[in-house]
Amino acid sequence: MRTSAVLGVVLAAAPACVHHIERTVSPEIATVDRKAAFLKIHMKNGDLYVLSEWRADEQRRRITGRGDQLGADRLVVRRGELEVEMADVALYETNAIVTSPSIAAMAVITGASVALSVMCIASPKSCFGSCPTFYAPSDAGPVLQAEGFSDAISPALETHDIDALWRTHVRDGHLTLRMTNEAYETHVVKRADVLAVPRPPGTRVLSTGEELWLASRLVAPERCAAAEGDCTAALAAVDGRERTSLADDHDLAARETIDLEFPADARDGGGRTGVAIAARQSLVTTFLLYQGLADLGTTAVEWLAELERAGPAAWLGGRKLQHLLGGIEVQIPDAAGWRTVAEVYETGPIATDVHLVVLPDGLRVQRVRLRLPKGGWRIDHVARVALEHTVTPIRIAPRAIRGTLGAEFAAGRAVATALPIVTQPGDAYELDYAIPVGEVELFLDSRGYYLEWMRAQWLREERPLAAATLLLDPAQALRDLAPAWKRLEPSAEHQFWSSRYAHP
Amino acid sequence: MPIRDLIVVLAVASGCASNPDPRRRSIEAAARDGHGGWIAVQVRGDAQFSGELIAIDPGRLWLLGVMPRAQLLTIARADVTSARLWAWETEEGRLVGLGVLGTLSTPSHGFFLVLSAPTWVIVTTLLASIESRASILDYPGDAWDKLAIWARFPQGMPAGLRDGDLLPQRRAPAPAGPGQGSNAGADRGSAAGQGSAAAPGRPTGAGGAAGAGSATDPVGPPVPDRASAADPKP
Repeated sequence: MRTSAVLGVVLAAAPACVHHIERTVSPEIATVDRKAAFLKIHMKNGDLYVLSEWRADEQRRRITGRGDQLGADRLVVRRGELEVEMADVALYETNAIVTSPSIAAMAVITGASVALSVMCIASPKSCFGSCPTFYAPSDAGPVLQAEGFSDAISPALETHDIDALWRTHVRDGHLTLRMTNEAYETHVVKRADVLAVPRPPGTRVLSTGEELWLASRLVAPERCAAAEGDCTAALAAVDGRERTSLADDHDLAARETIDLEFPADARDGGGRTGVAIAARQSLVTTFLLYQGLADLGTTAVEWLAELERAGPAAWLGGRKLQHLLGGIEVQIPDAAGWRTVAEVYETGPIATDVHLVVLPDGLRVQRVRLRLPKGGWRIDHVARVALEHTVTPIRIAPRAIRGTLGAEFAAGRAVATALPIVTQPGDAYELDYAIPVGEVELFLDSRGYYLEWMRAQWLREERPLAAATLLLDPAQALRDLAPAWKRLEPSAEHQFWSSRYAHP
Repeated sequence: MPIRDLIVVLAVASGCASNPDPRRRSIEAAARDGHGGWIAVQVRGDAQFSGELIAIDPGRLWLLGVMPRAQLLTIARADVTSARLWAWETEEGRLVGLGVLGTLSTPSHGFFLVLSAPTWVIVTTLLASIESRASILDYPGDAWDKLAIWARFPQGMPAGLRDGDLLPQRRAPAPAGPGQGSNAGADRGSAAGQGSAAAPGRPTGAGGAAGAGSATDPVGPPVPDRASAADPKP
């Protein structure tokens, strides 16, 4: 709100230009700029006439006009209708007050600045929302590798979340995670443990969300086919190169499929097989969350309270909406075509997480189909894995916590030195862990909830009927909202990241 | 440090040129009021004089100093090593104000604040520095005729004018027209050659409340070819 006010003042101040004077002198009346606001006539005796309405009579060699006659001291001698003999004139002078060229440069930066502001203000539903973000070291420097409990948008929805720190390799026994609040949210972080699992060389540890499995023989698909064509290269590794698509024009719940073909499984004997999927959501869910809050407007608090009381409408509506939006279904071929054996779902558009789907015991697969909402997911990597056995992690709580508070909301608060930690926009904490020395797989197990801040723009958009549709008939709502999302979709990613409140 | 202070400090550090003209004339006044711009002149021997630029002719220039009292100085152009003229009071303060507001608006840019805020500060600083010099003319870089058009008398020193005529004259309230302009000047009390009402007929030509200076005035250091106040005419 304050920045909007400042923006308004900038726009209002922009016309208050900076000026220069362009002065021209001439001994001849014929060459004087007749469009000038006033004419200054310097007399041979030092007097000066300043005429705003004037005309020259070349025949009579006189100039007449209305204005002031000033003496050599430049005080007014006479005022009104005046007449000047051309023979007594030394010089004619005109002045133009023009806008400084500096204003053009300021206009460019003001325009760009206003465009950035308007972009975010006009489209707050694609603005940054994050839940706690965790940055962990990697070979390429600190990487945003986890966003904690993204579903938990009220105390009643408090949950825990296990995120793989796939790109972090700790060998010296020391790990520091950076936890930040980068959005207009209040985060309540009750737990932020690291789960460490020692692993032999050539293996990885994967999480189903509830279980950890030691996995070997990670094999990327040798062929990937989707609506846009070949996607094999995009899914080859966890490297930030993602396969994604655009949402359906008419229904945000519309599905698409990706067909994967793996090399023949050369294992002898038993052992289970799994599919590892590294992915994150697109911004559709962010849009829907914010659109829902905007539609609820001033009644949003009542609906959240309904969630607290486990009211059926809010609960069922939320669950049904999540089901319609859908995760990534893993399908295997069967006699009837394709059968879904498991589904991967985790809310959050920021950090790529690695999920494990455990296939039915004894099943060997070469062909796998992924079924997912169009435009709903960004998939970085898929691999078929051989699962050895479940493993029990070593749970490690932070041994030291250091924090800084965001300046804007620091008043009356103190930095937390132990969990639970309540953060406001701009807060950042460093969490130190003692990790077992050696080759270990690391996960972050966070628990808590967060409160989304209502934006003033959302309150102005309150649409009770649309809100009711979103919760009571989400299938219809996803069709109704498709055009609105399609208008945002081309620029949503850019707007999302550019609207971040804070950055690490 | 507040952002505005930061911008001002940067502007100063980057070389904003402040105008020493004590009259603080607005652009509108500078365009219309008929007074000359403010000039600071460095002459041989490292003496420096400043005041309103009155006139420049092929051999001399005149300026009207005001400190500690009004004093018309005549300086031979040949003795001038450098001069700087401020034609009007520049408006870089408005740019700074706009820059401060722009910088304060950058929190609405989200992540791009890290780029937009420094951009506002840097651009504002540079433009304010440039703008502060927009009204400056420097001799010898700029020729005398370019400086001359910003003098009170761009045509050169009028013949027959006395020092005192340059200072505010006590005269009857300005009558309304119609009137006719000529060199006669017979219809007012302080016309050229007649002295002012405040100092009527002083033989040195000094007039006005403050009194114009002379060559022997202890305030003004000796300047080669500086004309005597008793003979200010070119």
